Amino acid sequence: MAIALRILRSVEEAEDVVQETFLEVWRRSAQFDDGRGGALAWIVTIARSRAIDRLRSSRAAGRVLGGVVENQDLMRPVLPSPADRIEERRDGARVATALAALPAAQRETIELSYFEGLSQSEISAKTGTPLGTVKMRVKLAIDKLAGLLKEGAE
Amino acid sequence: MTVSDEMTCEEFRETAPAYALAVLDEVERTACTRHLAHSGPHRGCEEALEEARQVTARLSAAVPARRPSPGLWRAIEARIADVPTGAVDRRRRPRERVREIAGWVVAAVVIGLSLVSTLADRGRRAAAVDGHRSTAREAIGLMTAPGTRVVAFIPRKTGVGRATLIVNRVQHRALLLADQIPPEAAPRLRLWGARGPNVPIPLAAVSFVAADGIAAADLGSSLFEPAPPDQLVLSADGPDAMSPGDVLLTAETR
Repeated sequence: MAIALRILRSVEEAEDVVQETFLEVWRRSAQFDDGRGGALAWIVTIARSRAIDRLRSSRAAGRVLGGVVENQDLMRPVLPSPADRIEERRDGARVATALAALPAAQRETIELSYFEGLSQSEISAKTGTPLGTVKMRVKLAIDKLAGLLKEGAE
Repeated sequence: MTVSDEMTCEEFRETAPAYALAVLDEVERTACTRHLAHSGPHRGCEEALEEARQVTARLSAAVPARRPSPGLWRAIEARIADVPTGAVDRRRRPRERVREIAGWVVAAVVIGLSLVSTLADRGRRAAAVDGHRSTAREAIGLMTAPGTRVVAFIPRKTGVGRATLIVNRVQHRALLLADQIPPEAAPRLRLWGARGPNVPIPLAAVSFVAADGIAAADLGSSLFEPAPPDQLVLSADGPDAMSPGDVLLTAETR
């Protein structure tokens, strides 16, 4: 819910994405081949992908999404246990620390791409940065985050 | 080595973070998808993409979680339980034709039977929908819990359907989901667990819970007691012994 809301900035649109995501998760659950990742990672990937699709189709149609965003709390069809909540907060802190450790330009690129749903070309146009530089920042940022998050997990 | 005329493995690995982030423009995204679809050989392409996907999936943890409107989960449940009702309607049509031919007395009897039948249909359907919703809620709740893994089963024959095990070792909870299981095998569907060379032992019967053909077995903590099995076998056997000829799908749990 949170990532869809961050990208779409509309509670109504984000809830539509959550509905579509859980329906897809349920219908594809018996086909899912996780391999090395976790189930939650798979669900978040679906939700973010659907939110970005929706954002881009809205932009293409000339619509502007937005709305009042409030009421911060957890979204979960089954309430998480206290242990789950603690683990989620720890993970959130690890990721926030890793993001803070990135050089400012790389952090901005990740903000605009992951959390705002902008493509590399759109980031280039918005920031006035050459496209090749944006591409390099994306690669360097993800590589660095991979290392930092591994360290944080050890 | 080049596996595609348009993109090399080295180029793909350079682009994998942007591909995982879904920030590529259409042309580059298509080139990456085509490169991945190529039979190869690849040099670290899937590994690079998997690592980037792991990072991007974790980034969502930095966003404060939010509670949606109270009706959202009810709306999801309603859509999950939205199964076709045509089968029930078709069963009622012959009774309607009899009623027209046989007159009011027969009609009264038929209407009475129809009412009973309809109520029974509704009861069965309501129970199926409740079971479906409950299973969906369990499955999605478990899948959104930290540390949950999904283990895919491998088919041992053609046309035997698909299955996955949703397992959380911290919570000691496991749920099996399967679909497209052949109708003749469905009533005898059973999950077995094996450790090393030992004979597999039955873990659970698998029941159909939904009109869309999804089968489920809630294993609770039985998978972990006394210790998780090395291999899981989904078969169409009776409860006492597993016949190798009836093995449908298997999965490695380690």
